Formats: sequence, structure tokens, C-alpha cells
Amino acid sequence: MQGEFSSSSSTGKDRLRVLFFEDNPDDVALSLLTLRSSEFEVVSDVAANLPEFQEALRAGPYDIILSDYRVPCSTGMDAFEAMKAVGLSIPFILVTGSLGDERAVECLKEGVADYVLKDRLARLPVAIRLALEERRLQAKRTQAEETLRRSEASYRSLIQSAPCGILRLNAEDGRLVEANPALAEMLGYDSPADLLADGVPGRVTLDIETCRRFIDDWERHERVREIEVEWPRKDGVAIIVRLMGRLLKNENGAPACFEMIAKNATERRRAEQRIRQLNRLYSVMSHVGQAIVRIRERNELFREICRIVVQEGHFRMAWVGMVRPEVDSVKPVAHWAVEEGYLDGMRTTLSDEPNGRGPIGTAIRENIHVLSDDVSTDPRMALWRERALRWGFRSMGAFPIRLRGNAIGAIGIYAHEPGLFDVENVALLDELAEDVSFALESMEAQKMHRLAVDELDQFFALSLDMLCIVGMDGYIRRLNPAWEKTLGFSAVELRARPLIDFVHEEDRADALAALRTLRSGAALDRLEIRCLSKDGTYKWLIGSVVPAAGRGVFFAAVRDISDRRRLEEQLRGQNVALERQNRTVEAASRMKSEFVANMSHELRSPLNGIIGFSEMLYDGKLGALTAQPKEFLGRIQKSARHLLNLINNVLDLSKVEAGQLQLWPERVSVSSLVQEVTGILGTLAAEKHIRIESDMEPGVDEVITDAGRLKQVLYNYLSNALKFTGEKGVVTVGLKAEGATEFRLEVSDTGVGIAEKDIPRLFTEFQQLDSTFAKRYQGTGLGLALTKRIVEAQGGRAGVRSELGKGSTFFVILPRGSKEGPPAKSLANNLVLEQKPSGLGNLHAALERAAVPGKLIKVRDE
Amino acid sequence: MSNQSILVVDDNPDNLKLTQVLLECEGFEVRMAEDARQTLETLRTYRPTLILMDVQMPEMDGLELTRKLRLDPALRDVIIVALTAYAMKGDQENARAAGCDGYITKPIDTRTFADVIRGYLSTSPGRTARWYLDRLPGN
Repeated sequence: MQGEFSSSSSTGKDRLRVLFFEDNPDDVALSLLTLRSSEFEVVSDVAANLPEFQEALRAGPYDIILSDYRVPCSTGMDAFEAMKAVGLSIPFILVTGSLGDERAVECLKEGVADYVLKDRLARLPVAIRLALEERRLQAKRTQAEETLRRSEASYRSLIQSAPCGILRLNAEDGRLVEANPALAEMLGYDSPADLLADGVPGRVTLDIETCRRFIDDWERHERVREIEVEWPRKDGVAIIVRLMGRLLKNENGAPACFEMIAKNATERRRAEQRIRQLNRLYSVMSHVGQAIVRIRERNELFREICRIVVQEGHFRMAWVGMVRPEVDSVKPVAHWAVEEGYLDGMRTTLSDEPNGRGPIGTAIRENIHVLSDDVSTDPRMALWRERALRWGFRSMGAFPIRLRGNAIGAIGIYAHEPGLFDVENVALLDELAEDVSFALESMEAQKMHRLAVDELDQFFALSLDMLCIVGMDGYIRRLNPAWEKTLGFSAVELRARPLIDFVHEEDRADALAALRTLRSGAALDRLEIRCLSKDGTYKWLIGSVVPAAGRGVFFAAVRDISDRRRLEEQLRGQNVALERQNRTVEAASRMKSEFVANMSHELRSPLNGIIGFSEMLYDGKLGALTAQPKEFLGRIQKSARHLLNLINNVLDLSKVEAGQLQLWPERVSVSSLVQEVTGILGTLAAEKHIRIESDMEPGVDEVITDAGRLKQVLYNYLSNALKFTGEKGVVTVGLKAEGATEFRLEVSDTGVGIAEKDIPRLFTEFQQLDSTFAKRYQGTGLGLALTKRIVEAQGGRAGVRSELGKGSTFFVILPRGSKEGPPAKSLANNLVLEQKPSGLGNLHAALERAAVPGKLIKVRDE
Repeated sequence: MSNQSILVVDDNPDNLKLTQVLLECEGFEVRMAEDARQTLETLRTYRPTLILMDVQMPEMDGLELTRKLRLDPALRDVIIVALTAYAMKGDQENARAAGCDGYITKPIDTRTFADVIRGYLSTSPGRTARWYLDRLPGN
């Protein structure tokens, strides 16, 4: 390369390649000699004329050219020019004898490096050195300039092709002084020149304030600052430009210009705005979520939501309206940032009329969100436009609030700007409305739940039974007031110790066993244990316990059964006493029966002798009798039979009382029975000329009853009637049905009648002990009492109707018996008395005469 | 008929006398016993056709004695008629169960007594007794 030193020679000196332009060899030799003692090691060539010179140059390279000024046919300057002509700039030193100062200076001006006088050759090395040095410096300078130029070029191209705008603005007035194509394009111009030319400097600029601040900042921190400006494009649309750059100073150190990179930040700003907005909405959602959890009252919640929407969401205003179906309108229940008068003047209906077709009305009616992205252009908002603009909102959305899917209201959200209700925002607001709907449902469910809990709480507190929740550890967790009322312990006392402590020692084993059962997950039904009361006594309790799976507690319902237990004890005691009584009574009864049996035998036996013997004598079995003995025997018999009758009655009464009366129901023809008895008493009736009549109702004749007893009754009544009816009277025997199941047998007389006050005493056996009474109704005595007892023993009743002086009617009412006949079995057990039918009649008659209660049993052919 | 013999068992001498006179008037042969011991004694050597058994007797009553007699196979054909005052429920069942063929209530009707007795005598003897014996355990 030109101007570069060659490497060091072997001698350590700097190698120097010299080209002499000298025709005088002596001069050359002289020069060389001078140089030999210099620091250079010289390698030289000589050119005596210009062509040689040129050729030598071509051969080159040389570090120095030493040239004579005057060479035949040319001058050193020619050589110099020749050198320059071939583009070289080797340091050219003139070595000349006489040049003249003026000429020398001229040559120097031409570019010659130096000149050395021949008679001052000693200076040659110095001059060479200087020239080389200068050469070197020059080379450096040139290189530097070249580098600079190249870098400037690449810098320039970088700027030109940069994708972002690069510009320079004047630091003092902020004017745009330079711009790259990208900036021009950003601002809508075809080229930087257009941009700069278009009177733009006035518009695409930084204001002074900003400039000053920028400079200030730079001085202080030397930091690149970012700023955003709004610049108009060629088409007038404003864009946001983000500038980032540095301050360039001039040579004096004063601020010259700002060199900046520009980016179209419009999109970014929009995106940032978008994110900010979404963040606001998310913040709104989050706060609303918290409010839902925190606030349990509906309108308070709505109000808070409106506040959050406006304050966190940066909306203009918000309000919530609820449906009032009875007046077909929407009533505002909460609002925020809504000035006085806005809602007053508004009447939102649900019906499909102009006032109802606004966003809120429509949202509710159709259960769908309604949006108006730009109120000023939306035809649906025509009615509200003026108000909207007055109140400062440009867009709005109405979102229905639902309860179980039906819209019961809506929230209206109003924004300052249009375009805030885009798809993403609206999706979030829809979610907001859903959250609110969910909150409402949850509130209602809570209310229901609270009511239900209240209801249950009421019963829990009210219950007369003791209710409680017991933990696994045996301590009561919760209990109702019945515990204190029943046991006397306070809730605190009961909860201070495990429940088992209150259980009677003897019942603890059972209680623990029950606890084991419960722990295994089974329910416990009706455990009876004794529990301690405050007063020290133990009360019997019965409890049912159920484990609550998974909750580690038991539910127990317990009832005080100490009363019941006491009663049971009492009853048991009573039972024991009763049983003892029973045994006593049974013993007594047995004794009674034995007595009756004994008396029966004792009393009848003697009569057997009396009646038997007198009868035999009377019948002449021991020989004929004269009238008087016979008469006397007759009287003896009569008396004896009378006595027997009385004895029989007494015994019968006793039997009835001892429950020993035996009845033999059978099919009886009442009329034939009447006939028989009438027959027996016929003589007595005839004696007194009393007519016996009968009045039998047809269809009642066949009854099932004890024939013997019925005969006894009839005989009793009939004989009484005959006794108390005077001469030529009438006695009537009547039979009629009594209801559907009974029959009535009556004996009426035309006798003296009975005083009303005496009637009650008639049928009572002990009353005839009264002498007056007995005298008046002599002989009726036991008969009536027995009749009554016997009739009642059969489920019937006996009584009398009477009128003093007119007569009496004695009656019995007896059951007609079941449709079926008496069970065959009862007859089969009877013993056979007679085989011959004729004998039966005699026997029966004979028995009657003796007034012995006998029974007629039919013969069975076996 | 007239050689049919009757044994009357009664603790009351008057009753015994009455019954005896009544039956002898009708031509029956009558033996008497006042209690169980006498009855058994008599039966050792005397076989009556019919026994009139008074039920209410001290020491061994008539039904118990009847049961005892019925155990003797030799007496199976003898007709036993109870004489009872007929007081209590179940008296006749008891009599039947004890082995009696019938019963007559006291005080007796002298006028029909003989006929009743004759009636009993004409029944096939031992019918009831057989029934009773059939129902004894072990038979």
C-alpha cells in the first residue's frame, strides 16, 4: 500500500526505497552517502529522465522520491505531476541547488513535501523523516476520512432503509429538519422530501416546552427519553407517534438537534387502552364478586354494583331497574352517578310500545342483552338521544337480571365514549349479569334456608322432649330448653361433663354398650336409662339416638318416662294387690258356693222326710185314713211345700249371686208354656171366679230360652195376679214382640193395684222384711226378687205398671234367642229320665206340683 | 221285676227309711247302707241291680264312692243313680263323670218315685258304665 513503511531490514534500520530523479550521478551518490549514516537503509533507483521516471514508478513501490529540480527536458515538477497523474502520492522531496525561495514555496504549495538544498544535504534525512511522517499522517487522515465517509455512507443507508422512522428535529424550535423514508411513509407522504416540503415543519414538530425538557433531561442524565406526540398525517388523520432519541450538540457544545427514532404508537396505544379497559372490567367483575359474597340485601347489592361499574369500570353511570308487573313498569332500585332528574323523567315499560323499546325495557321483555354502541347514530335510541347527549354518554348496554331464568330486571351501563360495548366487553358484562342473577337466587335460597332453620329452631326450643347433639367424646354440643325443665340442670352444667356422668351407675353398662353400637354407625332405638336430676333423684328417660355419618356427632331425642315408670310400678303393685284380692275373692266365692251347696243339701234333706212321709200317709200307702187325719196331713204337706219353695228361692238367689245359676236355653213355645201354667193355677182361678185370658201376638211364639225359668216367672206373676185380684176379676196373659230381638210376657190383673211409692221396693229381696210392706204384698217376697234376678241373668228385664185401685201389669222382657237352636251338645250331656212320652208328662206335672225347678229333657233314641 | 234288688246309700236315717218304705211298697227288695264302709261291706256279698247313691255324705261322698265302685269290674253292670239336692252348676256332669247312670233330685216325689226307678231298671245295664270305663286311662 502506498505510504506504508516496509518492514525492518536485517540491519535493524528502517528500509527505505528511494527513487532518484536525477541525471547527475554525483548528486545521487552524495545523497546516498548522506543517508548511509542515517537511520535508513536505502534501496534506491535512479531515473535520469521523465520516461525512466514513469517507468520506475510503474515498477515501484517507493517510499520517497528525491528529485532534482532541473533535469534535462523536464523539471522536478513535471515528475511530480507525472507521479500525481498516475495516482500516486509518494512523498516528493526536491533536492536542488538553487531553487529560489519563491519557487520553493510554490512547489510546496503544489504538494511537494519538502525541499533540501544540495549544499545542505545534511538535512536530508530529517527532511525525509518529516516527509515520511507527514505522509503517514496524511495517510492516516485520509484513511480516517475514508472510514468516516464509509461509515457515514452506511449510516446513511441504514437510516434510509430503517423500518422505523428516523428523524432530526431542531433542538431550539423543535422543527423537523430531517426524516427518513419510513417516517414519511408513517405520516402518509411519498418521500422525506415531500414531508419536509409540505409546510409540515409547523405541524410535525415538538413544542418548545418539550424541547426544553428534553435538553434539560439530557444534560442531567444523558439518558434517552421517550415521548409520545400526536401528529397529523397527510390525510389529516392524527396518529400517535412514539419518539425516542438523543440530543446532538454542535462543535461549540450547544444543543443542535434531536436525533430520534419514531414508532407509530397508535395501534399500541389503542391496544394499551384496550388492555386497560379489559383490566378495569376484570376489576369490576372481581369487586362485584366480593360484593356478592359480602352483601346479603338485594338493593344494597345493586347499589354497590352500580358504584363498582362506574368507579372501577370508568363508565359514565349505571342503574338497576326491577320489574313491577302490576303496573307494567320498571322501577329503578339502585343507581350510581345518575344525576337528579335523569331517572325521574324516564318511564320504562315492558310493553312493546315506544317507551318500552328502549334498551332496558327490551332487555327485560326479551330476556336478552341490548346494546347501543353509538347512541348518536343508533335509530333505536332516537327517543333518548337528546337526553343521552345531555347526560354525557355515547354508548350503553342493558343486561337482564334473571331469577331462575326469567328476567325480573336489568342493569343499564352507560359509557362516555362510543364503541365500548364490543364483543369482549359485552361477554364480560353478560357474565356480570349472570353473577348477579346467581347472587339473587342464592339470596333467595338463603332466605328460604333461614326460614326453614328458624322453623326448626322454633320446634327445637319448643319441644317438650329433650333434644340434643352429642359429640363423639360424649359431651353435649347443643341442647334445647327441655333439658333444664326436665332435669333441673342448666345448659352449662350439662355441657360441663360427659353425658355418661349423669347416667345412673347401674345403667352405665347399658349406656356404654349403646355408645359402642352408635360408634359403629347403627342407630339406637328406645334405650331406657335413669338420669340424675339436679335435686339428686334419678329420672327414667327413654331415648332414640342416631349417628350423623361423617360429622362425628349423634342426634338424640329423649323423653322423661319417670311418670310412666311410676305408673307401671304402681300398676304392678296394684296387680299384686288385686291378685291377692282376687284370690281372697275367689276363696270367698268358693266358700259361698260351698255354702250354697251345703245349705241346699242341709235344707232339703229334712223336707225330703217331711214331704215324703206325709205324702205316703196321705196317699194311703200305709192304710186308709179318715177325713181329719187326711186333712191334717194335707196341711202338713202344703206347709212343707211352701217351705220347700221358699228354700228353693233362697237357694236360687244365692246361686245367682254366686254366679252358679245354670240356664238351659232351648226352643220353647211360649203359648204352650202359658197354657200349662194356666192349667196348673186353673183351680185357684176358678175358686175366685177369675177369668184368665190370653193375648198372644202371632209370630212371637217360638223363642229360645230356659223353659223352666220362664215357667217359674210366669207361675210367680200369675199366682200373684190371682192372689191380688178380687172376685170375678180378669187376669190377662199377654205376649208380644219387643223390638227385633226380644219378646215381652205380661200378666195383667184387675186387682187392688200398687202404690207408686211401693213399686221400687217390690223387686228387692230384702224389702219384705218391712212388716207393713210384707203384710200388704204377702207372699210376693222372694219370688219377685228372684224373678228379676233370673230374668236379668238372661239379659232381660222385669218390671210392673200399676194404678192403685185399677190393677197391675207385671212384665218380663227377654231375648228371643238366636236363630239357631241351642247347641245339640248341651242336650247330649243331659241324662235320660224317661223313655215313655206319657211318663214325661206325668213326671213334669209332678215336678211342677212340687214346685221344684226341674227340667224337661227330651228322650234321645240312642 | 220284683226280684230286682236295690241298695240305698244315704247317711240320713230318715231318708233311708223313707226310701226303703217307698220301694218295698212297690215290691222291690231293698238293702241299705249308711256310708262308704257299709256299702263296700254289703257289696262284698250282695249284688244289687241298682244302687241309689246319696251324693252329699260326710267322709267319702257319693260320687267318690261311685268312682271307686266303678273300678271294680264285677260291678260294671250295676246301675247307679245319684240322689242329689241339685244345687250347683255341673252337678249332673260330675255325677255322670263319676260313673252314675242318672240322678234324682231331692226331695223326692213319692208318687212318681217308683216309676222313675222302674225306668232306670229297664235301661240296658252298664251302658253308661261301659262308656265311663272306656274313657278310663289304660283302657
